[in-house]
Amino acid sequence: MAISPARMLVYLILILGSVVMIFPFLWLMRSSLMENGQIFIFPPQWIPAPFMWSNFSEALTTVPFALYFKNTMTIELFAVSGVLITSIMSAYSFARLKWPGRDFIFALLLGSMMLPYAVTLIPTFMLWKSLGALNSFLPLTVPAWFGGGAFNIFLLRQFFMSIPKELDEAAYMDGARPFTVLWKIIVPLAKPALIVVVIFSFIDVWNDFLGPIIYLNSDDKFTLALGLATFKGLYNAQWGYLMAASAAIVAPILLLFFFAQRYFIEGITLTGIKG
Amino acid sequence: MNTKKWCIIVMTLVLTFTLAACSGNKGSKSNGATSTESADAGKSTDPQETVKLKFMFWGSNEEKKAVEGMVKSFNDSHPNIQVSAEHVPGDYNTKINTLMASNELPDVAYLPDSLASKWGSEGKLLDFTPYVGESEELQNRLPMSFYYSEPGKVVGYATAAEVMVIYFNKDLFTEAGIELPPAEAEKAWTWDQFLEVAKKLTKDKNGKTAADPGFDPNNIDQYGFSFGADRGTWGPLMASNGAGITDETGMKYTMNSPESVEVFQALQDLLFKYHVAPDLIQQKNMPDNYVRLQTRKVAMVIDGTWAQLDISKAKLNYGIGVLPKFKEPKTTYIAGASVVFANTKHPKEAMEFYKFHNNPEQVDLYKIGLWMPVETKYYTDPTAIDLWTKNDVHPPEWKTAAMDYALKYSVKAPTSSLKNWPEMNTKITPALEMIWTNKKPAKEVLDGLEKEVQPLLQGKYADK
Amino acid sequence: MFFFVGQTSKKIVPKQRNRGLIRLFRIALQAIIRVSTKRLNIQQDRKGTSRMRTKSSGISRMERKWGIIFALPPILGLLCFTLYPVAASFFYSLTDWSIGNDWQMVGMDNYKTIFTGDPLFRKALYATTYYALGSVPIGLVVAFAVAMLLNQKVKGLSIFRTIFYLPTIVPSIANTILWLWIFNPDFGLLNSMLKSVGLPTSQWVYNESTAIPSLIMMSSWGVGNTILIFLAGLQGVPAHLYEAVEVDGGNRWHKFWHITIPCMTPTIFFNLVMALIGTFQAFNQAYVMTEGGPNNSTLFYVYYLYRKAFTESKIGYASALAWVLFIIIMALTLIVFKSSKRWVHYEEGGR
Repeated sequence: MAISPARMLVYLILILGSVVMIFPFLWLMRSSLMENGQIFIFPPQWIPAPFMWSNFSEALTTVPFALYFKNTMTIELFAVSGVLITSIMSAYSFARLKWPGRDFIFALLLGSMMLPYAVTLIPTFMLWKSLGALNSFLPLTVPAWFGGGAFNIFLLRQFFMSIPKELDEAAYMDGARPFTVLWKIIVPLAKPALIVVVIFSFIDVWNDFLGPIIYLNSDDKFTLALGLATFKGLYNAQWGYLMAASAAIVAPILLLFFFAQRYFIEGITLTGIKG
Repeated sequence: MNTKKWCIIVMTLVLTFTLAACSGNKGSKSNGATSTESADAGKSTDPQETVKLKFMFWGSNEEKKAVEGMVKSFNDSHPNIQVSAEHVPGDYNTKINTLMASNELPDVAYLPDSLASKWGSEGKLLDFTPYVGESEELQNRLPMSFYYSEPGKVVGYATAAEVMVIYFNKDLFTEAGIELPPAEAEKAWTWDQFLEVAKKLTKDKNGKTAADPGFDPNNIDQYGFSFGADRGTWGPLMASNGAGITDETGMKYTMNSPESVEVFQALQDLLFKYHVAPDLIQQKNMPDNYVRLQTRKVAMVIDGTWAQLDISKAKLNYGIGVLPKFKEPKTTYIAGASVVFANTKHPKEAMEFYKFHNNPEQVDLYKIGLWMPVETKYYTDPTAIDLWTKNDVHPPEWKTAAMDYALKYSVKAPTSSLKNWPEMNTKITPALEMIWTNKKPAKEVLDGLEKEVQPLLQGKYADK
Repeated sequence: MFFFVGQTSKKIVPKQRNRGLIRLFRIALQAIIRVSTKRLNIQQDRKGTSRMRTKSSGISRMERKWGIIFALPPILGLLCFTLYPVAASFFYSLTDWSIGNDWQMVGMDNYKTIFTGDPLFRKALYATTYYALGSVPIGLVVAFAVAMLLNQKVKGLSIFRTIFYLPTIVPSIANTILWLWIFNPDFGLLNSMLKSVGLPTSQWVYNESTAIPSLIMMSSWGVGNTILIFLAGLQGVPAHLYEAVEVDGGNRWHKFWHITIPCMTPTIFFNLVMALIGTFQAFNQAYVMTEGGPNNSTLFYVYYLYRKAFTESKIGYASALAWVLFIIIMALTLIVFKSSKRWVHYEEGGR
């Protein structure tokens, strides 16, 4: 089958776009294999000379990455599951169920995103201090179980609202309970949005620097993001190691994204249900 | 009605549960590991009990390892005290401010210099005076390293000594047949001598130097000099010319005095009149100083003595010299502070650790070139000097260009002792950018800055 | 007193403080229960009289019950983790608290200073608004276009999608060094390219007048998250609607304009609101790249207040700044929400 001109154009744009978008990543990769000095030579060089494969081994051994990885994944496990479960529930409530004060609560939720964290950081810290939860993962995981943040609730609410309401109404008429409707109708139809929530909340935890730095004291509880920062001192930085560690830390996210995005296949969700 | 009842029941249940969980957490708090400070105030320390201290610090991996080694040997040699080292790998200001605001402070900690002065004067730092009286070690320190809450009341010391010096690539000087920068303050170059050298070491693509006719300033291959546009550069030069940000009282803005203008104009001329140094924009894309020297992009840089760590490791034939002078040879002493917080439960033990924590016999950071000691004997007593400088890291000229320079010619950075400096800095830095980018001549900028900075002046912290 | 747990601790022992906290929580929660049950009551009565015991009233009763249960996590979250910090920060904004120092109530003085005596506030607000006005529409258009592109059935789609998401996940430190080079006036990538085709060059982030446009340009690289949300939204556009257009003889353009766009309005709306909230709180570029320069031209609002809070330790003033920003964002969001009734299409009965 011959490729139509329109198709050709699509490929052309995609390839050109890819060249532009892959730039930062190539930059990171080449820097991760360079000596401290070569990273900054201008105009930049693209081929490391020599190839500093040792950057990776050094970077991954100077900092206890296995431990930090374990810590990070522990937080991920509790935070991402909390976000997913509670944001699905509450988004369903805000999108579909009518109850007094709903819109007011929703407005409050949105409003909570509008105050810069810089000024709520200290009172929030005091709160966790009074709960005796400093230097633990609790401040980093427990809030996820309380709705998972306005962003995720709002996102899912938008998606749930564009699912035809006749579907749930019919189920109610058949005597289904809201939980059944949510689980059997809404969740399967909103899979792409749920995947977005998982990806986002995973990356949020993965890259979170401020939370761990404020709440964690002992370095056996540190996360990968904190481990990465130790390559940069006040006056100097081990750039080669820093870049290598960055590349290593990006890899899992990359994999997660690569596999998760496969669920985005056009038209799979709604065809055949209504029609 | 049914719904209403139902709702009340559910909500009450959930709330009770939540509150129970909350208070349950609180109950377990007293045996939590984080409660050194918040332990019940009523209990006094049993002398037999192990005293627990928290020590918070910043720094790279290398520093972290050295500091942890020091803490371990302290804990081993002091069975009654258990120090836990808490490394903060970034955003130190955010963390320490949060801890201060919520009264969750460590016992001993590093502090940025202006914060140490601020909190010292606000009574948040332990008064060292009683301990200084009985400890020669605390008395005989570099005068610039002391922090005072009020005249005569010591509340902390700089963690280490650091002064600004010149690092240079020796090969570039030898090849050009130019005498090396002096390593003794008494022989410091005048500004004009320095400028001549910088010109000769600046080369364009055709090999012509900035001193030659036909020099092409648009295609420079090698610069004679490079300097950071921060207090580390203009601070010592201002001091050398007898200028200051403010007058002695700290209540009058003097950055537009003729001496101060002369310094800033001289720096601006290096960039845009003589083209012997890369400007602010070019520098943004330049690597760390030691790489600039190593790659022969720059012949001389101004940097702090902390750079010795990186420079001594680089494949580079380097040398150290003193800064050029305007009137007097001078450099500034810039270093973070180490403090004990006033609300520590165990001031005696904290002081014990304090004296240990930057003792050159205990910490490796002196031998590897990051720090210089604050105790005077390490500058005067030959055995003490050997202890930290007799190694490959410290070249022969270290004695004069760094040690004597720090001991006799350094002044405390005015930025450490000015009240409200962080806010003043938010006005000064953007204004100085006009100089570093050649938007306006130095005098105009510094005159214009007066009306912005003068209202922010609140005097100086005690420095005696 | 209560808000200054750390500052006034000399007099209060920790345990009592905790108890005070619990008590406050309990009172607040009880009040909320009372209010909400009362409202329930009223609604119940009103509806009870109008609609008698029909099936639909049964459903609405069930909705009310389950609605509140399902929404309990965020409601409790608001009470437990948001209420106190938000109230406290407002309280701080009425004081002259500088961390480490004693504080005093100063009423509206901080707000007065912001509006009358703080030139940096105006600079920061200008820079932020400029950035938001530029990057929000550009970001949305770019992201939407890319999402459409990445929703085609082409070979290697997974690879393309992953590549387009890369700039979003590369750590900012690596990104910063890269962009400093791209923007470099002498040997940067952009100027070299412009020179090679004979166009005039620019100083990019190094010049006051071009700094914000440069950052806007840079931001359109990092729209991977917006792309992803659009992409997820595109999955929900019912295929049968496209088929209907085809049956009516419509072309691509018709499909796009009459099906894709209307079906995507809830997603566009979401991204618009989030982009507004996000860009008005832009921080990172200023923090890691420009430090607010040159001459404060990229002094983003949140960066400015962060510096006030944690470099200058002036948390009282920083809180006041935050509340001013809060009002601004709130007003803008409200406008967008009001307008949404006219252009956002939900499935019938969704609202």
